[in-house]
Amino acid sequence: MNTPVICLQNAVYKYPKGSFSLSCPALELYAGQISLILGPNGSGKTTLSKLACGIYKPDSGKLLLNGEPASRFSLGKIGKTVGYLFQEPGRQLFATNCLEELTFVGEIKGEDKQQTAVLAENLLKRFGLFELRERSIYRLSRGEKQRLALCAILMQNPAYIILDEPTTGLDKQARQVLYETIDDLLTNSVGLAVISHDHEVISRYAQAKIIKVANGEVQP
Amino acid sequence: MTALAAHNLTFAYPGGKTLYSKLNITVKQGECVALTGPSGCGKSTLCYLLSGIIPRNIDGEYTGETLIFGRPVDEIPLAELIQLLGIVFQIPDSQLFSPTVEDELAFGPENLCLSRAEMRERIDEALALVGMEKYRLSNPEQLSGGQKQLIALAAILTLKPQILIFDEALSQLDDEATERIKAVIADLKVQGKTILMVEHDPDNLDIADRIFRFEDGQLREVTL
Amino acid sequence: MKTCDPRTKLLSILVLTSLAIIFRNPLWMLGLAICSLFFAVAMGSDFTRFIKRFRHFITLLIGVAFIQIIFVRTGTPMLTIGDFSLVYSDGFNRGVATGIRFFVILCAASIMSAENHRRVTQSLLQMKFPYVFAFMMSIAFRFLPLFATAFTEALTALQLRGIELKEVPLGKKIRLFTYLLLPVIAEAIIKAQDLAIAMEARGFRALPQRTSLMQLKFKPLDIMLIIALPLIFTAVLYSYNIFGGI
Repeated sequence: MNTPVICLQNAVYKYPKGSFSLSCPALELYAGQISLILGPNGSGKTTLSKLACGIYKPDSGKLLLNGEPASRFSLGKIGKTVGYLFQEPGRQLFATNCLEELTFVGEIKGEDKQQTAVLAENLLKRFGLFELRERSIYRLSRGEKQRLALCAILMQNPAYIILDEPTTGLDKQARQVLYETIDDLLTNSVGLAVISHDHEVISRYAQAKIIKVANGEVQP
Repeated sequence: MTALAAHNLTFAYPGGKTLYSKLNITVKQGECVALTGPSGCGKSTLCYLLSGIIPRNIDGEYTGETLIFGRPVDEIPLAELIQLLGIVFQIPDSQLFSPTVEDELAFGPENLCLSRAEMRERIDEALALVGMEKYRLSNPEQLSGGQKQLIALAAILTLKPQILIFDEALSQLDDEATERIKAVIADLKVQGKTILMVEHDPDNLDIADRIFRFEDGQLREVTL
Repeated sequence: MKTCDPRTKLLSILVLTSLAIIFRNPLWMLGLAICSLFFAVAMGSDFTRFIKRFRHFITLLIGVAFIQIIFVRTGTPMLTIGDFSLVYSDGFNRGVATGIRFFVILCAASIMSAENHRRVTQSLLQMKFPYVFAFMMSIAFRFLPLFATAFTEALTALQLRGIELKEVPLGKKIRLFTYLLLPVIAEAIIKAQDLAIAMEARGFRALPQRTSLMQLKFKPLDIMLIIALPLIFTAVLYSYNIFGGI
């Protein structure tokens, strides 16, 4: 049996402000597989996903990434294993144009410029953004921003990506492109967890593992 | 009677391409009309033009006319306009800014210099209409997305507008919340309000009397 | 005092911060710090939470106070190591004064942060401030936490791209922060525009005046404090002039 990329064991997280807490007895997420995190607004789906990604540290219980306890890992190290696509893609785009968006991190880390540029251009081509490489990120549509944010995540080559309500604000055409993107990632053995309340997503990925969240509890 | 109309409308944002080619639409009083179409075709822009947000808050060049009950929108003083037409936007957090629901609902009537007694009455009515009476003193930030949209709608209803525009107001809501809002919209229809909805989810178009689709800068009536 | 009128709270803040500016004597400043803490707690602030949030500023403040203590080299030597005087009395007094002034400002801020921002707006309106100005402040209160969230998400997203903040040299760190600010500022501008549209769509600035559902009324404790605070301020100033040395 493969080691799950993400494993939560008896994890409990309580928000510092307010009374909401989330409890997850057991969760295993594997590379190359898709899971759907379902539940009404306010049930704890985003909290669960941030726990699974290591953005939130559990108050009790543990998170294991590739079998290792993640409590010792910095976010920088976690990012090599798990990526997170925020519901608002604009919050994770920082540069003035698409190509710079993918290359500036490598420059700051002092990585080889040539290698970074080649990887960036390949990702832009793969996700249909190469023609837009010089375009300002503020002139991108929501769907384009999303794909660019995914490219930026994939620069780290993570084994797993969590997508938070990715269909929000997308029209029919953009949704189709998103589904193709998801299929592409699965084909390349990237594991995916999609938070959604969208019927279309649920019926399209009916074979996915379903993780139900209600009132701060992850259902067994 | 025609509640909302646009005749021979063209519009371009500063430095942008022209969005419509002599667009025409009329919405009769008491009707519920849905607008649908791909992203970037100008659905929300049309809502802003019909409600006077363009040119009041947003720049752009337009030709043609937009009318509310036969009067050009840009000639109606704001205090009168808000009592004719109200608009609910897509993102609840960008519309709610008060610490309690009651404060939020009072905001519009306060702007009209209504008396406290009148304000309280309107707040009572609006909360009853959306079924959120027990949240009167709640903090809107702590409500769910659907509840926030209901409060955003109630905040408009305290102004007693005849026309309501919903600009993709259901797009960020789950199924339960969507059904709740649609039920309120159905009630408003029964009360004789004129409704214009921008929607891209076909499941939400069932409450519309007529549906228009944007194609090549024009609106074409479609049936589902 | 928790339920004091916001106008009373504003007056107490004015008295405390004015004294913080006027006082130079460390003992008097210490007394002022204790009074400020008392007022902050009595008026309902969650002071420990406030201190946690501002711990980065406190580090900066301690740094500034420390610099003053070490580099202001006038007055009587207070700490000598061999023949070298490390700390002089003037430096010590100034360092302590800076620290306490900042503490008083923190207490003042915590008094207001415990207050409902609509009540603060209403207090400004009832004091005849123009309503546009009063609402500006209210909106700032409402949206600062949202921008804090946006900043946190942006920082998280950046780190998840493999950036180990501790390992980034200072020059590149500054460049990194300019990247970080871009989405936060962009979101602030977009939200500001959306909010302005929503507010005007509900008639904000339609008329030169507006009424209020909320009405603040002074309670007996408020009246007592409004009379007492200026008297206390005058008495303290007079005493300081005689005993503390202005």
